[in-house]
Amino acid sequence: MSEQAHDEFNYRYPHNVFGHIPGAHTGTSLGTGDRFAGFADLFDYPDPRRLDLRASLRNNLSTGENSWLVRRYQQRSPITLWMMADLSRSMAISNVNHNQLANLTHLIAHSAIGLGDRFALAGFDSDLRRDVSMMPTRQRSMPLLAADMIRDATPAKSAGVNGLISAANMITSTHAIVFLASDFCCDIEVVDKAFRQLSRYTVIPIVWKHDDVNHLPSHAGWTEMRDAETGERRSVWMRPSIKKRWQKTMDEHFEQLTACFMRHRVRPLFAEGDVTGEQLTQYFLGRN
Amino acid sequence: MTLLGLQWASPMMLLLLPLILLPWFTHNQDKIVAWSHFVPIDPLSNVIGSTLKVLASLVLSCLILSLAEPYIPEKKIERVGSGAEVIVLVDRSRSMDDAFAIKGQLLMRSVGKSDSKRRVAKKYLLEFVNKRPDDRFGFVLFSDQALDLLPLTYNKATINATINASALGKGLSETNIANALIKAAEMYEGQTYRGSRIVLLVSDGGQEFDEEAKRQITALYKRENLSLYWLYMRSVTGMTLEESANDNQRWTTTPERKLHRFFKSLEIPYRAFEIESLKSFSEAIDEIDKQEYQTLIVEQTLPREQKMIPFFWGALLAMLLLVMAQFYTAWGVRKAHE
Repeated sequence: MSEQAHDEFNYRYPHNVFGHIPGAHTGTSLGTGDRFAGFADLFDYPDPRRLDLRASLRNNLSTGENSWLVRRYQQRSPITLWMMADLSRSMAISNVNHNQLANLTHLIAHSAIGLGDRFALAGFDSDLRRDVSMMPTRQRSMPLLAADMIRDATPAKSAGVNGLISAANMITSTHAIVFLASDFCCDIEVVDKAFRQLSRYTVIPIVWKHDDVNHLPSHAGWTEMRDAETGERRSVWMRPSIKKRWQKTMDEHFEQLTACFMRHRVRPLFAEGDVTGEQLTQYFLGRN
Repeated sequence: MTLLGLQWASPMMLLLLPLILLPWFTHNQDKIVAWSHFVPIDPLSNVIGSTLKVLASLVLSCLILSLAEPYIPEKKIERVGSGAEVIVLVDRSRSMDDAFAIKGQLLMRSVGKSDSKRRVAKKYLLEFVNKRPDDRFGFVLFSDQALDLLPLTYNKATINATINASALGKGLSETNIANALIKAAEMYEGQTYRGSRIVLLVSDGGQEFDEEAKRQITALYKRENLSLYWLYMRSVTGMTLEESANDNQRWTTTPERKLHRFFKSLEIPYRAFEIESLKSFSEAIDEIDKQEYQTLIVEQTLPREQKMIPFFWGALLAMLLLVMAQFYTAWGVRKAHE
């Protein structure tokens, strides 16, 4: 187990959660909580501790009835935070590596479990990675375990991110925030399909930007390239027209990706290098 | 071993030739990109890429081929030239050290001066030799004995050197022309007849031959089909080889005239040049030069020739292009990361 900086972030689940287990998020079920949810008759809800004499009197005087009112509260409930980690080969090149992914996983797991929520992990590459998956858990030791799992993950056996769909199928929690960490250098269709499956949940795509996505590997001359996933070789003699075409293809891809996010009403978090708790907090505050 | 029409000194090196495939298999310059889908497909780039690889292979093959040391072996070729085969007979007697006999001037013994007949002969012989590229020359120096210094050869450097050397030092006392003439004729013996054969006698005196020598000379010169030129360096003022009406009485029996008569009786092409000055010498030489152009089969030895240079050039030029491409690429990469 490795040393971790115990960074944290604050998050908020936008919907009301239904559940009988107490947690940190606004719930729809009534129970012990701190948010007032109206009055009920003592006979309907026999909890004399919550008896509100002032409200009862006011009610009796105005309606002429003779009833006792009991305060009711909404119970706060927990949710599950899912981390979908892209372990495909393209996630382990240039400035992006599994270490950053592991740090992010630890950050999410630590914050979730710290707040009383559950954390679950679903790793995927061309298929679902069962060895890098974790069912929802609240155990305190899990953040480190999950981070190490990712750090020690064997490289992907084959190319592609089709496991994204299977990983999305894994998510069965009623209420969940799904963090989808990937470089999104793949077919938009797969992403689209996954988002459709995840439409019940709050999805937060964390888009890792590669160095070579931000700037091209070469300005001029002979450049040989190998696809990180398929190993397919492509070579070009770099010149202005090629640069333009390359940039255009990339821009188009990310435009389509953004359009896809928009369609599914998700707001991506673009990341370069390590994602910090500060960044995520800002994200949830809607500041980036 | 022969390949591409060349001989190879170290053919084992050719076993390295499969190495030229290396550029097609190395990918040490690969850059890993997240998704090759972003990289445009470009036919021109494919062409350039193949060209670079072909160039790299070319460099390797050129270097390997030059390691195998290609050469063209030494060979003899026969070509048709025009000229003659000439044996130069030079008198080494002491009188050749004198200057030309000029009317009214005392005969001076000025040994080894630059105007000595030997020096003059040397100068014009050299000129003659150098003027005739296809001729085969032999060289005989005679005094009492004939020294066949140089058998018939095409090698101009050797002939020049021999002629130069012949002009060094002082002359010897005796003269034996008969011996020299026989020696010269013998040098043609056993040689294939290629074209006209000349014996060029350079001497300043005559000699009477005995019967035996005369017979031998007649037989030899006829058999070997020779022509004879006599450059007579006049040592007695006013004397001519041909008899004329107002001849000095003393001259009729001079050995020169006797020799001249004998040569004329040989029934071979013969011509005498009487030389009394530098000018007449050069005229005589020019005259011979003019006359003796006959079609001649020239045998030439081409030396063994190393053929590595073209391969080196090939490798150098291809390498130059590759280096330029490489530098350009390096510049491009640096620029991209700025």
